[in-house]
Amino acid sequence: MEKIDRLGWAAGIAVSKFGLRIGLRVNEPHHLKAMIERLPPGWKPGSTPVVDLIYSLLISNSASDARLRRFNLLYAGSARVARSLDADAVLTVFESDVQMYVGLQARRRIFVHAGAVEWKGRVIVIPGRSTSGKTTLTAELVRAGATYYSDEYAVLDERGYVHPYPRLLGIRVPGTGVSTKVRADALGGRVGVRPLPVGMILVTQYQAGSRWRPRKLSAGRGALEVLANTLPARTRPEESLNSIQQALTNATIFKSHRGEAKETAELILQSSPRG
Amino acid sequence: MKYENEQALPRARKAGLVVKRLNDEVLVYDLKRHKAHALNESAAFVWQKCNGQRTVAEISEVLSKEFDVCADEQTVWLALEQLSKFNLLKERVARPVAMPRISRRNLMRAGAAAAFALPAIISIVAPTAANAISTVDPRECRMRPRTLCLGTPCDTRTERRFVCRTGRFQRFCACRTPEGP
Repeated sequence: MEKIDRLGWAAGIAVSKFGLRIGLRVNEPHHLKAMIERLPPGWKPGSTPVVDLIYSLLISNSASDARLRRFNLLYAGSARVARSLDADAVLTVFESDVQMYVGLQARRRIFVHAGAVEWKGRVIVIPGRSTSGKTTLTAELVRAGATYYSDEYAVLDERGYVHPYPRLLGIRVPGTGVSTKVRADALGGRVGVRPLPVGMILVTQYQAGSRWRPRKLSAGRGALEVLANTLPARTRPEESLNSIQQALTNATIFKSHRGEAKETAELILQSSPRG
Repeated sequence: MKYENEQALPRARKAGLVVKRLNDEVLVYDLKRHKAHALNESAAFVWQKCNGQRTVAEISEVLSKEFDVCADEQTVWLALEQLSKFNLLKERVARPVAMPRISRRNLMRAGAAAAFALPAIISIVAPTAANAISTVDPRECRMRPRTLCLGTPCDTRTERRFVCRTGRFQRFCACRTPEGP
């Protein structure tokens, strides 16, 4: 760590989120903005320079000697997490690493890999693995009038309430696996600001040609579906189960394959149990 | 593995488990194996009655009283076998040789499920953090053009952190360790 500390750092910032203090430092001041843009939503400037984890981004200056291949490097504490000639690739690794760090270590919060929108005062949670169509369905629910909470993480507290995690929606370009970032207001939606209880859990996956034919799952079965997408499931199982238990006590759980997101979103909002 | 004799006195395992009640069901997290189980109402009831002092016949009696049905020993054995399979009993118990094994389907046909749900346990392996974040499928990564590898984490279902990137000597995207050549 001392060796990294001795490198020439030109700019830095301490931020805090969910009780975690994170430091960022770069050797080129203008790259600090790129790092800040990739921080979890809702971060605040830290009140103290003491941090739990410091990310160090070393961007190579290729103009200094064109004959040398200089790598861009990213360290989390003393561990190197990325080395690439492509600075964007290193920043993408930073984004996923800092999100995973916050998701695993956030105090009194349980991160579930899920889309989340608010409808009629309760949150609809759509847990699922990557490429299951969470973001597409979340985007369509927002277009249909629901309030955006997150397309990536449903953040649960100890009461089982869902807190907003309104990062930009990462909508994948079909066939490429590459996602473009879209603001919720660009979809005509609003962004949630306060924690709310869970009203519905949707266990669903896109399947071409399928129709939305939901069947109700028991709370226990639903809890396993949520736990299967919980980041700290292994590291903090008791806390995870407690939040899931609270979240599901009054929630309805449905499971079904789905076809096109637009018609599914309309059917979901029409069938929402609370008015 | 130790097997009890025909007078089986099953005892529920308590150590190394996190137990939460959710409506009528029970959630159990096995801290040693990192598995989570959802026990339905009747399976949870049988599990709670396994105190190492009750026989299977006695458990079937209290089960019948609780659910107001005629639950025979076969129903209790159905629960015990699942509890045993998922390591929720202190010692494995074996059905008496003389007792024929009846499948869940046949038990349902026989009408045991007419008044209450037969014991059932659903189980999952708890995910690692890497399995619960947005990732790219390795096949999808390989299809990307070189400029769009972007270092996205790969869905490799392992603890190792692979990202979609090019190698020093390769011109295509593939899932590799972040810091390798």
